Amino acid sequence: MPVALFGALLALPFQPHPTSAAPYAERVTEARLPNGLKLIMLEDHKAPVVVFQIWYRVGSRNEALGHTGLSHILEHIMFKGTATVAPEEYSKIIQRNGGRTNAFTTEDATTYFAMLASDRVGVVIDLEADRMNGLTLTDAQFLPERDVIMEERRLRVDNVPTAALFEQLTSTAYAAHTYEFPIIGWMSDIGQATLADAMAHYRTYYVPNNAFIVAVGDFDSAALREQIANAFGALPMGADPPPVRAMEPVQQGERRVEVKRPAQLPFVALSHHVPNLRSPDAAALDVLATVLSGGDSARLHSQLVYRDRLALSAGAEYDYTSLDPGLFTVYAQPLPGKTATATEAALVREIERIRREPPTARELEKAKNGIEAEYIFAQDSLFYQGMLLGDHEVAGDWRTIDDYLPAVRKVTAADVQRVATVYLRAENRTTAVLIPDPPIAGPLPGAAPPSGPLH
Amino acid sequence: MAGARMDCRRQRRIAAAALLLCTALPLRATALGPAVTQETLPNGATLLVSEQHNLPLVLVRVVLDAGARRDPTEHGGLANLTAALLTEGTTTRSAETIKESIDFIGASLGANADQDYAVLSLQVLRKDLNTGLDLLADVLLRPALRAEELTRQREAVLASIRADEDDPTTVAQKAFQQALYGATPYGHPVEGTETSVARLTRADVQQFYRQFYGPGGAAIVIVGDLTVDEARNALTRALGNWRGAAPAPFVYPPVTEPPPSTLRIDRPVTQAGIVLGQLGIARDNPDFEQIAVMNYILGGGGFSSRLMDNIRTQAGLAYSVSSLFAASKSPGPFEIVMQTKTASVADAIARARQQVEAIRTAAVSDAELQEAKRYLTGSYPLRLDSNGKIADFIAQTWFYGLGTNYADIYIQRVNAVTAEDVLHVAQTYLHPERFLEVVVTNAAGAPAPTAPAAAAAP
Repeated sequence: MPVALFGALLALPFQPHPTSAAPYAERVTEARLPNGLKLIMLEDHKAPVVVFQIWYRVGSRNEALGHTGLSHILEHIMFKGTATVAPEEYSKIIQRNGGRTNAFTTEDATTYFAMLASDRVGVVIDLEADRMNGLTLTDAQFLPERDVIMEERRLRVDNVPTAALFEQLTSTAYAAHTYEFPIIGWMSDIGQATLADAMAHYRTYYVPNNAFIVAVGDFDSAALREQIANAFGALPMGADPPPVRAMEPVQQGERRVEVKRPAQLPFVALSHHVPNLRSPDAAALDVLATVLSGGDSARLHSQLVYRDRLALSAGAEYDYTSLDPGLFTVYAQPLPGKTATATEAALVREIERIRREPPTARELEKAKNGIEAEYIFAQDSLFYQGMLLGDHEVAGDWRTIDDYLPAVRKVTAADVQRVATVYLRAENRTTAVLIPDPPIAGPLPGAAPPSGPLH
Repeated sequence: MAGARMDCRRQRRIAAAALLLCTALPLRATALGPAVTQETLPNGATLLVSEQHNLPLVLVRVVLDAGARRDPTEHGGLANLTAALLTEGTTTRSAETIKESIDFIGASLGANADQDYAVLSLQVLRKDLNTGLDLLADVLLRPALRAEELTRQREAVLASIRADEDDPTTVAQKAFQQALYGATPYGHPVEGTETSVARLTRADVQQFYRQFYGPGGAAIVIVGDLTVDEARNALTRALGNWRGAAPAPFVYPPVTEPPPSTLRIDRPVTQAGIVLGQLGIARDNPDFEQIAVMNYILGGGGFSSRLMDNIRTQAGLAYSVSSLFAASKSPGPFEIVMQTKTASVADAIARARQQVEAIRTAAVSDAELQEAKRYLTGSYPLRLDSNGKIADFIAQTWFYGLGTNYADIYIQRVNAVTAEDVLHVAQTYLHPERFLEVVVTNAAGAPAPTAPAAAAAP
């Protein structure tokens, strides 16, 4: 899940899919500057607005123990000023031009974006070119921001029982790959990070040849390309950043992790190592996720939530656009009075059922219809179209978007059963259980009575 | 008309000043806002259609005066439960059949209640519009409201209420709302409380449905790839039998602002959730746009705001801090919301109070004023850059009676705001000496109770 600079703009799982509309390859203009900066431009003139995103190919995947969270720290301090732009002035400039801006970090990438009226896009282009190699910082800006990030971690992870569980799940599921690290970093690593660490990270990864720009909206591609070339063209190409060598070995037996902490309800999640879009199995895995979790009539909700009245929520998640192979996760939150043990058993029953028998013809068609419709609905948002292009480009090539729907259409019921059999095995699983401690019993703890007038 | 709109957009691309030229054009609806056709259907409902042909999809919002403010005394959560039950079975379809039919066409259909209103929403591909509308009509006109389904939904609501207790900010907000509004309609959460939800019966839901789900006083908003005639015909076919008078107008009982107080709630958290504030404004307040400018500078404007600058950027005390006037049909709250580690609670609250005092004491700078106005006017197109946002905009402007040309009115009013106006509304609507203060924190690691902020001399 991405970690954003401000607000939970991008917390929803996002998986749009190609459709019968014109292929992206016919609508997108691609260009590359001599310094290696790639431009991916999609004109969409429905509103006088442009979404501008700059993606750096660096995230928690590129980090090391003792230095986790560095990419996200850098994302924050990128707003702390250059020789020409004062600290936090970036956001103010965008806002006084009627725009909105934010940034987010994932395992694979760090993305900065602005949404502006089309005639103001030059403002963000100049600001991004300026801070690609012009960051100037002292501890006076760095240290308070490090405190802010520790507050962010308390807000997003330490105070959120399910987030704390997923952090443990991920760090248990991976033994050798850097996907084990929390994107926001471990608290002790954040607390000890230095300005020098962040600047070294910046110099290594923030070079035009390790970045690309996605623009979606109301512009002329040739003119926009010219504007971007004028602003970014003089930035020197850098050395290629070091590759991530880590590869996760085949898992040879189930792993389990428990998190015991104050929480109102338990939670159970089962993650399995799976391939990404480089594998021909990706489309079948996505259909499998939709059969299990695409809507209230899908298997997990229908069985665990509706029929069994066991869970408050239940679902499956699979992101095929991860740069390295990721996880296929099924999860459920028990209703009060129901146990994690019973919930885990119900999730395993559903996994075993799909491994034993393929989905029905109607289920398969429903899943494919859902995937196609979702893709069209996603195009209602300029921002999500930018995310779609960026996510696929990070994973390899934005053009792979166009391969996806044809691949989904070819998936058979037997394919769905096969990928379930191959990947959703107990030996390939990490099971994580949130156990409320102290146990919750009886009514909610009440508020203390008012302590009287303040003044 | 379509040609005129295109021209208008091109002008706006050239210069922001062209916004004013645009308003003068004889457009069907408004220059900045979406073109909307409004009519009254024979059954009394208002139909609002905006043709948007860029994608093969249609969005429908049925807006009903059936929000949580209509919950009977001690029956908090009834509006929410009624809305949730609509899609859980009709006289001819089971809950599972409805869900399966909707999922099969890749659509979504659901109802939910807000404080002031309830909305039944459909999102559907153009090619499946009639199938989608048939399902929407069935759940709106013929919900079975079965006891078995009520039990299921009540369990889910109670579990959600329980799960909310993990989030200190949600706990603080609920306590703040209760302390501010007491037993009046905004005093309880939309979803109700554990006590009130446990009390709700099938008879309650049936009566609420009969009272508030008729077409009188409702609006149907349709945005997407169809013409006004197609929309009217499709609706007449699907909802032709929808009948019923408007519910009696809602009258909010008088709210007496409670005396200032501070409420501490002990939870095993590492970071405190803090809400402070007081009674705010209704959406029809004539000072709404002046207040919007003032609040942007105080705490609504993200990194441009004083609260963010002081508490986050300067002091590193919080990740998120903001202020908000929740303008509802009746006066909603003014709230400052933030989170900070246990040891910083007193410091963060004192700083927030100082910023409130400051904006009441001295006029804002011209630079701040211009920034706020340029953001609030310049970002308006971002509020309308998708069909989903257009549908929500039309629904809200209708419900709050703002007029289909509200986008233009808003721009004009914001542009007219002066620094004196900002000072005036700050002094009129912000009274820190009356603030309620709620802190959800870990008592074991908490500092001494907050000292009152030093009152700045006016």
